[in-house]
Amino acid sequence: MTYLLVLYFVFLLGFMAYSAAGIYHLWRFGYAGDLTRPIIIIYSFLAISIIIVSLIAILTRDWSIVVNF
Amino acid sequence: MAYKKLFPAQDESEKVFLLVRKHWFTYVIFWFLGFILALPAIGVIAYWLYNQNISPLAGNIIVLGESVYCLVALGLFLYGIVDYYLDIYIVTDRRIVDIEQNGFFHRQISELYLREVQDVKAKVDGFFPTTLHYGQVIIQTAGETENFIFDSIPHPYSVSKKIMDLHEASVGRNRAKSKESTSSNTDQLEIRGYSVEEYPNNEKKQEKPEETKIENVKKYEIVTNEDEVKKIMDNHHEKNSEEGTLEEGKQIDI
Repeated sequence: MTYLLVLYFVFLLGFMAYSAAGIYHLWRFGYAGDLTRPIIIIYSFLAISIIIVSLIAILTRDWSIVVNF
Repeated sequence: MAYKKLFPAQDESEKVFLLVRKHWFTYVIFWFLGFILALPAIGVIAYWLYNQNISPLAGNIIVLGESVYCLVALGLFLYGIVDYYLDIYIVTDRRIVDIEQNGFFHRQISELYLREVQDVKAKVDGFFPTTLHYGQVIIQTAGETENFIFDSIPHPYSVSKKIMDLHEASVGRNRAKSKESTSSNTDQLEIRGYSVEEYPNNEKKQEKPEETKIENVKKYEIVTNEDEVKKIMDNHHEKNSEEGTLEEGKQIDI
């Protein structure tokens, strides 16, 4: 099952790069007084929460199961 | 407060009159997609919570799958917000700017000076646009420049009116400026010791019989009344038919 975990962490890296690109655009091209700053905060909060909850769930489970195809 | 430009070419003295985004309804599609995507995820979580005797393998897959699912949905939300929120139409006292953001890596900024605007049309077409008051504003331009289209913007009629008002103000300002520059040239000539009539040089002035020209000009009258024009043209035709046929390209003296 560890290969699934590796794939998951690769996905997380891609997601972080994608999020960084999106946040950069909102930060760079948004302007003072508009909604881009709150959106960045809400988005970051939600993304970090999902990742933390997932990591807790991953750590509490047994990943040494061998799958026989 | 620090001055921040809304678009790269903005001057500090330039006043922004309109900043329009697409109507919120056009963004609802992203929320709708997010909701549709969330339904199976919610179903799987509910099933997992009520059936604790799921195999550890299935439990592991659900944990990873749910995490990926939620992050993809969140990523879609971010994509939608960037596409919606950074697509802006700006109207200043000098120009119209269309900032188009397609995804994260395609951004296009088009500008059009207000003096180049020829016609502005507002169009509301369809059930949702009519009920929610949004539509298109089509700005026709002079020359070969592409027309500007403000798509799915709220209150298109008032936006088009505002653009026309600003266009007229801009044209008026340009005229005043050109008048000002002409009068300042005249002032400069007077300062140098020439009167306006004397300048340019006397030799050229002697070559051209200015007075005769003025007399010719005085012969022409601007006639705006249609009946009067018809009357004059009839007289003219009668006169020509008596004298013979009219030469091609010959100027008609009224």
